[in-house]
Amino acid sequence: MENKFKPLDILQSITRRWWVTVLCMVIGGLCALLLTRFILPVYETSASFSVTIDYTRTGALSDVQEDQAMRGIGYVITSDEVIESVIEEVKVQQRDYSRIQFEKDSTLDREEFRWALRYRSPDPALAEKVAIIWADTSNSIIQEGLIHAQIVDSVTDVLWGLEDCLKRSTGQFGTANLCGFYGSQDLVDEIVQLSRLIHEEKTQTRGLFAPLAVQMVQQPRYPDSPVRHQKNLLTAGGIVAGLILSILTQGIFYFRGSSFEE
Amino acid sequence: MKNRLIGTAAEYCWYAMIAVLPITSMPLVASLLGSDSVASPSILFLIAVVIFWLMPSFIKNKPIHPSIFPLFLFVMAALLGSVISFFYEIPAFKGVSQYSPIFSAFSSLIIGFLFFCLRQFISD
Repeated sequence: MENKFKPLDILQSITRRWWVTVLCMVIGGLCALLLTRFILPVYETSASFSVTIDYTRTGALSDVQEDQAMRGIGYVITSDEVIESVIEEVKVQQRDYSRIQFEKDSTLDREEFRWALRYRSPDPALAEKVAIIWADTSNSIIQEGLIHAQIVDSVTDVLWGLEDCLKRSTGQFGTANLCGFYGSQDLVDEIVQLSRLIHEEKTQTRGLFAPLAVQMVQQPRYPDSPVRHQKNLLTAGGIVAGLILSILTQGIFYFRGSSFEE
Repeated sequence: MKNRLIGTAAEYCWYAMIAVLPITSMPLVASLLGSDSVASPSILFLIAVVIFWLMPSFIKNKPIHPSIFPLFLFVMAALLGSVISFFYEIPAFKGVSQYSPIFSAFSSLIIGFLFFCLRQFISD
């Protein structure tokens, strides 16, 4: 006949030694309470950037192109330019603040057409301050990049117009139409100058392009309650751990003291 | 008479539970359980069988096959591991609460455990 056991017998055995269970739970709770002295609660605050693409200017984009446009924003938010600036600003009030700490406590998540930056710290005021600086710095650099991208777009249009003028001036109309320039050399010089301007502006776009619109849709707020290592939850966790360990221990003793029903 | 009626109802609930297993998600169940990860209507029948048949069997001290032990230990280990994870530093991820996946996963595990328990009790 197969070996069998009766679960109620084990339960009764555990309840008979209820004080062991209670003791384990109390010890577990006290240990967890002690640990809360060293494990500080963690506060989190976040900011979000919404990204939109003006498809009337870009036409239909492939998934890869859309992805690349979105990644561009993420690269700016995590760029050395932004992070160094944030660290410098935080260091004014907190001298020992370092990049390692920033990288440990910060995260950047992409959620569809949204970028969410998050910052965690045991100090809610610091979490709020760093997140605000990070979000504002990112926002100003992104907006600046977009302005340069718009300049690139506009100047490129002008350049194309001038190139068109130059092409036409070498055709059957000769030098009749030079778009107001005195000679074709002046026109070429202007084209060279605009090309340089476009090149300079492009380096300041930070990889962004004009049809993108980025808006900070959520400002960092002061975190009222911790997201990790809440004292009550840790204590409850210790109590549950004590309960589980007591059940397992008593279960082992039960089976050592009695054999299965034959 | 009452026991026979409960036994018959539990048996039909068991058949219904098996019959609707292929339906993996049901909005009504998802809203009842507050989770869409495990929202099979089988769970409703499982709860009925557990309340009206498994619990009374347990109270009557009906013996069960010890093959339930490894799974019970696994459930305990999972619960202990989950509780220990409260003390760890886990990085933020897309604003998802770090506790809700634990509760969701643990409820899935409990449902699986109850299915197994029920099968063992019925076979015995």
